[in-house]
Amino acid sequence: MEAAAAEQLDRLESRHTGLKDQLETAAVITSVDGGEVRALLGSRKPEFFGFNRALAAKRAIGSLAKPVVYLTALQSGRYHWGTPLDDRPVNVAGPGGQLWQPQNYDHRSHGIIPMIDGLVNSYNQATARLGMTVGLGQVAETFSKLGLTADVPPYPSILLGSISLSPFEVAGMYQTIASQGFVMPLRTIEAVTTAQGETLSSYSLRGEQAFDPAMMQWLRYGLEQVAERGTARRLTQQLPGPLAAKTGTSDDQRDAWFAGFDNRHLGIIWVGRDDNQPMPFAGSSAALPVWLETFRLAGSEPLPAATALKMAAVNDRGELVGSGCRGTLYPFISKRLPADLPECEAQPPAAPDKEKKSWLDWLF
Amino acid sequence: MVRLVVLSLLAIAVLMAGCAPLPPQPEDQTVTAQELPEWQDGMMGPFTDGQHHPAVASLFAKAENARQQQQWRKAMTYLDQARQIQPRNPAIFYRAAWVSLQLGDAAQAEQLLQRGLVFAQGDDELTRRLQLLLAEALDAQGRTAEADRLRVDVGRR
Repeated sequence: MEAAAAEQLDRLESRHTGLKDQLETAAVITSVDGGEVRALLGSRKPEFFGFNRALAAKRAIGSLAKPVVYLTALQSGRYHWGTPLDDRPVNVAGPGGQLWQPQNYDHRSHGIIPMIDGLVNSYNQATARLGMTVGLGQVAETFSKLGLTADVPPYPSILLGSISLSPFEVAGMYQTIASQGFVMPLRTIEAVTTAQGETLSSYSLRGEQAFDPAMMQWLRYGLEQVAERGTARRLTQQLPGPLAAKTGTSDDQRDAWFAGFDNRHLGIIWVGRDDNQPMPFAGSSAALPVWLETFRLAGSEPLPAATALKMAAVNDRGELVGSGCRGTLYPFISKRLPADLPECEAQPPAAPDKEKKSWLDWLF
Repeated sequence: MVRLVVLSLLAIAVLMAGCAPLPPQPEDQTVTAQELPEWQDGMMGPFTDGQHHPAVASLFAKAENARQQQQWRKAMTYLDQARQIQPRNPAIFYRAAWVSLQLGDAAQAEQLLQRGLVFAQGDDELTRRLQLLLAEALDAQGRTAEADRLRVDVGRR
């Protein structure tokens, strides 16, 4: 991982003058099953002894907060990945009561979109609207349910990641998603044993179930789409998918984040400057390549199929329709799907297909 | 003719190589309810029941040995080691949960079974068996109403 980080940062700096040796990085890699820390990088100079950014540098997490908002929505029972969301300008109040209007990364609004697109393309306006509708208190609660012990004030700005966390804290939250709902303390010690080798206390046993595994698979579908066709699509262009991921960029591009996991490991990468100055990069261009290179070198394993989900058709209004009806397919938690789906709406009769005639018909 | 014989021999050699008994990868092993020891009225069959990866089977044998001497912590140590080899094997979670119950740590038994249930998804019988033991773990924590509800759910399926 050290090699991957050093190489990628050198490459980024070489593209922009005046950046030489300005970028710093921190990373945490854990095992999905046990929460064991497999690698911890506190600086681009591994020999540097002292300030460990992976544990101590708290920076705004930007869009890494979005999955928390979407999870809150999915949990409310009122939303699914095909629910229409409004991606239009919106006013959001900050901690001091000041209003600001979040912009999308491409400085455009996208109108009515299915909920999945809000996460996949990391739209700020749709996400802020969604978070305020499901409730800031609920979103703050989801943060702590995911295992975050830091205080999350219920301000609208948290929806877009104004809270500052260390890579280690972020890893703790994403660990709960990757492990299908178990909050487990990240640790480097496997167990404490007696002199005879008997286990006194096994840390890998600790893991309280905070979410239904099916719910985590439902959220994971969204993160898989990010890696499949969204802001992290470079991942599946270069490694076998499905993989789950989210990019993050804080205000003015001061912090570039990347969170992603495969079947075995979770990796959280931060790239930024110690003086907290803006950089000419986003999460997808600065932090993603470090993750990609690390997982390529270490070997990645695609995520297994989501056994708790079932695809069902949804119409433009976000309503479930019967299997033969016109609609777009989205995944649902199988055990929650109603047994009888509504009848198809009357469709305008399609023009009867003209029977295709081959040149043989013409011949005879 | 000679060419035909050589080719046939080569083909047979290739086929035989395919059949050579390679030990399965620990991750590839499929686990069904067959891999759980019988359990009735609080009594559990030998830990060695079922088909397992050789490394796990050997640890199960050691755990069984410790269990017969009621050395629960020792048994747990071997099951922990088995879990290091196959972190997603519900059959290991099941045994570890039962030992946790003997140790009087029903909360841990509950957590272990819930993790085992995640990896048993899609196998109804395996899920059912894990849930029956989970009901015991709930009972042991005084959560009898939850335990009864679970048993009713399990019985209905």
